Amino acid sequence: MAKIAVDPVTRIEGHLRIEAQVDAGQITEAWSSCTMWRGIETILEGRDPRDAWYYTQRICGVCTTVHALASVRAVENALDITPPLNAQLIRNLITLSQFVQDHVVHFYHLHALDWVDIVSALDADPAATAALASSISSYPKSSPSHFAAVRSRLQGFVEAGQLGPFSNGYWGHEAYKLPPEANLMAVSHYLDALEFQRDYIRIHAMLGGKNPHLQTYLVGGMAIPIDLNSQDAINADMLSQIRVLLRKGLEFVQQAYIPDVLAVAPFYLEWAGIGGGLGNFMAFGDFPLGGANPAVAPDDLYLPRGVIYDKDLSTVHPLDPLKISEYVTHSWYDYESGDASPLAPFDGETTPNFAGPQPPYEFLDTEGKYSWLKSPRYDGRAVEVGPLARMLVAYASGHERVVEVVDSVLGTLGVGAEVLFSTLGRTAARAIETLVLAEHSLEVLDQLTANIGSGDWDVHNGSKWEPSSWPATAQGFGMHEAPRGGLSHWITIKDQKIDHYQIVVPSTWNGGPRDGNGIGGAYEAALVGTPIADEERPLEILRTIHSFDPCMACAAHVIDKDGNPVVEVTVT
Amino acid sequence: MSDGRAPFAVLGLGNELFTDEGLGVQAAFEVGDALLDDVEILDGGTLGLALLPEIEGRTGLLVLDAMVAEGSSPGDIVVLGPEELVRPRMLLMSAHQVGIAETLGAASLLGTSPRLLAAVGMVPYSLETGYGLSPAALERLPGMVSEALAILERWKVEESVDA
Repeated sequence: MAKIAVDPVTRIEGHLRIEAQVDAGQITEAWSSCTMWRGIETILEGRDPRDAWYYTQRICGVCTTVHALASVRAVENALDITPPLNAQLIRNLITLSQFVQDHVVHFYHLHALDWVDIVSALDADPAATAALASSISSYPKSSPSHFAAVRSRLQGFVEAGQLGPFSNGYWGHEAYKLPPEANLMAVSHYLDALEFQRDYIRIHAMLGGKNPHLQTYLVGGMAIPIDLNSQDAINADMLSQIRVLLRKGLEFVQQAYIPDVLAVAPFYLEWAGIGGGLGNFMAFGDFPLGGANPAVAPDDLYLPRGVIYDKDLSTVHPLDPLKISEYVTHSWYDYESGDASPLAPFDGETTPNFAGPQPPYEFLDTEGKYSWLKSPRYDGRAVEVGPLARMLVAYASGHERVVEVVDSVLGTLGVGAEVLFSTLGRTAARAIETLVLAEHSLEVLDQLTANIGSGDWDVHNGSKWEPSSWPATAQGFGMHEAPRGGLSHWITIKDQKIDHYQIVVPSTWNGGPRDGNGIGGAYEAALVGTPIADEERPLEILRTIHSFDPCMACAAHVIDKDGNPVVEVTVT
Repeated sequence: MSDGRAPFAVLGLGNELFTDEGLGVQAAFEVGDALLDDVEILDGGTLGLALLPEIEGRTGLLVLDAMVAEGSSPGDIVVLGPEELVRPRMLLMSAHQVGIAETLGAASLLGTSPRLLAAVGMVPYSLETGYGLSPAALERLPGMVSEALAILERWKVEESVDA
């Protein structure tokens, strides 16, 4: 019986930390801890609600747009403001392109390295790699000479001792199963994905007004004008540039991302039976088809809203946002009313009470408080959020395109829908979602172009811009499907200022600690049963945790001059 | 530069919601006040790979950030050369840990990394939640800014673009 801790150490503050009990080569119990205090909410109180999005956008370096959007939606819900259709569509385009870029980056630059052995790619035969690549996709860069060039580039990096982003992986681990040729193909696509995402995200520079942080969000709409006669506005030229980029995005997903997932999956089919976790899934749904705020128009969304319990795809339960509440029983916070019962976000409190050990320490006291994350629950139950939850809710709701793509992927792999409840299922769901949303982005652009063409250039509803037009008190919430899952912002406005603000982030749903009933979150549940071949190198933990695409290390990037290990693996 | 961008970039990094975590961003704005030709000021926040297009193809990249070093005290100014700056981390738990070192590593894999690389940092006094720098860090900021300006001036002389 051994206990393992995986902890990215930065010495100034920690991030996501996993502790796992291993017995006979299998995880029997796991604890997920966020070791970094955030409490951003406290910064917002007393500020102008119209500025909240600007501050919340800074919470995270990857998901900049998601907090901005959830925040403006919360304020619009509180003040009963409906933005014009153009603004909703522009927001959808920003979000959809964020999804495609973020999922591609996650797969190729983080998660693929759990399955692809970079060093083994050096043994690949370029001609055999070309044959493999051509057999799975019409992706253009698939010639023997191309793969030979990639291999020699990689060779150069290895010989110079400069593996760069590939340094210090668990290369050579027995859990890597791909043949060298599949590894080389993946390395080649890794490099292409870097170039792709760099070009693709220019969409944000165009619609966001400024790079790298978007500046065009606005309560009531967007702060980017539409004017077909102006160079400094959304015009025909910009729309066609965006179309070219969106098409490139769709092509990359069709020709590289999906085929790569289908090529890698057969070597790891045992992971279709590992990492299933809670079996409860929640999706807020998103991508308004019309102008209404998703908070009040749950049926007018491209991806549907709903909850699934106990892996039962025959019933999608309706979702009531007011049934969300958060426990702090095992979190480093105190509730005034005591820590045994949860609080709804409108009544939420952010009062820190750090009771954890001072670093360096071996293990956390998981009997007591052990995380800076709260434990959100829906109607009292732990639920998983993210791509798998969204695709399952859409699939079970009969979303036509999602059903088509899911069935086609399952058919290609020769497996049934039950395999979706797994680490591999989560990874496949993210790829499926990327395809469906890359397609939808072009539909949204068509809708925007048609609406502009009809003469509607309106991007902002300023009817309630002036605080004097607001009621003395107002309350609202903004729901948004971020790439990592359902995100919600909850605001109370009093005397024209923010009186109370709470943010419930996706990785809190998935990565939170035990609740008041001793029930763990999605990470904790998913790790149970995971095999561990080598306790010193727990690659398998990373596979399942990465399949959720954790959002933990955000917000703090202090450079460590001394190059200390960022992951500390402790085994006792 | 063929695309009309400045050959040198100053990239301020950090999170302004955690007091001195944001000192790199603040320092970058102050370097910007010197209005140097051929230098672009960038607010990188805590972005990772999204910074790739901003970094690629520059002659020189100067990173400003909060830093920690063995045996250092708050307020110390730390200057890093290219080797220290691109030292990669070990395993990443999250895409959110993709920081400047990994992004420079990616640029290097693509063959588009800036030729001149340096970083100037200050050891933070406070990482408490709050908007704006601690008074002590604000007081030390000019030292960091002049260190940054000296590096830029040296690069410009070496590259003779200030003619």
